[in-house]
Amino acid sequence: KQHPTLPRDFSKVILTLDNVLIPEDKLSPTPSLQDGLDSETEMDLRIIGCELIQTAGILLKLPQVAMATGQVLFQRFYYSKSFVKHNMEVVAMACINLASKIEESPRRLRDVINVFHHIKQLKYQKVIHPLVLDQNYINTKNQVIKSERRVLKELGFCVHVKHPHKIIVMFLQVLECEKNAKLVQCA
Amino acid sequence: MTSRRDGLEQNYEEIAVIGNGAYGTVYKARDLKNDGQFVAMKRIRIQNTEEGMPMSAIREIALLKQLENYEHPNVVRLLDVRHTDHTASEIRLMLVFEYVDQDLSTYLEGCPPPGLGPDRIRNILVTSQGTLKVADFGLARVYGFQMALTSVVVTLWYRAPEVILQAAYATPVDIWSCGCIFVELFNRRPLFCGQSDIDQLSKIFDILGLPPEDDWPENVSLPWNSFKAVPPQPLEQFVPEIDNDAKDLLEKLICFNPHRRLSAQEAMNHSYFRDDLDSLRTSSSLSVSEGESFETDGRSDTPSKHGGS
Repeated sequence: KQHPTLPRDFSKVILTLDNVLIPEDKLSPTPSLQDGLDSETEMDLRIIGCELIQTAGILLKLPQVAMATGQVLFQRFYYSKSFVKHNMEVVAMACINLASKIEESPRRLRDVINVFHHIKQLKYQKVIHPLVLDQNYINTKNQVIKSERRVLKELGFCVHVKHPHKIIVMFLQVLECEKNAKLVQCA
Repeated sequence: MTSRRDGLEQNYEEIAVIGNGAYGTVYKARDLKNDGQFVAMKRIRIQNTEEGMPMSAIREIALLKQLENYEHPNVVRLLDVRHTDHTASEIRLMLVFEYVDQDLSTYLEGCPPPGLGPDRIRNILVTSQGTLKVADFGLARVYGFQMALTSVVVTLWYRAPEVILQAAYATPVDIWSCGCIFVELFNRRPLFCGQSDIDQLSKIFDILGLPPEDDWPENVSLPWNSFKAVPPQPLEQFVPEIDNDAKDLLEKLICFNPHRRLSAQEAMNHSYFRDDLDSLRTSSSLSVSEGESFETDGRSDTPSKHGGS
């Protein structure tokens, strides 16, 4: 109750920003809107980015908390920087890489890039080819490393995220509904 | 959410170098944006790995930022994190902390110490009002990769035996360190000054005695019988100014078995502190009724419990 919370809906996960509350004037207009992006496209990019993080996280066998953290970082970053200037896919990779470290389940950057490559091929229904470790790969990798640093910088290292999921489960226990598997799973 | 940009170094004006360590350099500086108040700037270098920013650096700096939310009066404020420049191999960060004029060692030097060496406790600071402030916790891990290269003996002296033995460890290690510093407040010099890991353990056992084999942690490479069986020595022999309450507390703080060591909460409830608070409240150093309310064994009449401070 001391912490005001701001629930937001995306990617079928409700996240509450507990430790960093974004002031209203930052929420709108967003940096992307200021760069001339329309709000619908921005919302789409946010949703796609979060879904990418979720899918990649599953393929990387990351705990769900890492995906949730990655998504929060991703969302927060784009309230400070614009989609026009910062490639959504690279930032999404940086966020999941960063989140895997924050949640103490680090994954190799190469695996992250691999998984994103795989998802892309699936999406465009291409024949699945393994990632070629060429100059292109090296460039992507450097971009992700750079992007990770930028995310840390923009968020001022405030990257610990308190997720509401545990609290929901706790409330359910108080309400003696913990046996209701459907509700618990929804949390 | 704050965003920091490069090239704003002119916000801070360096005045003097305060310290130079394996981790980088600490400067005293003026915060030009805030009426020129003093700040401590710590430049740290973080290795840029193949995997981006090292996990330990992220976790520790994020933790420092997290701690800021609590605004604990005894924790040094982290005012700012600045990204200065970076090369392919390392990232340079600048942490801006509130400035505190003296560390605990300088403070204790106020009363001439018997042979206090150049090694000092750098991360416990004392403000001019006498408030203790802790600085730099977790960053030891950030600096860790460089520290291995230099002989940083200071921290070894405060290291709990389970850490030296490379057994599983948790928060009781901090209580051990507290115990070591507690002694230092009496003696104005460290208690266990080992030169190496093994020497450190021997120095500990020389005083505490070799613990029973049952207390020896499991799965450690150093076997229990590699140390000489020595009996425990009475602590007052090493801490002459200690009274019974303080001695009882100390014994429980530097207990070899981390499971039997006091927790921070238990330590706070120890009669040593209780007595101190009550005497402050009643402003009489020893009241009779109070003395009887505890089942302590023959209390000492030493009026000052804080040797030196």
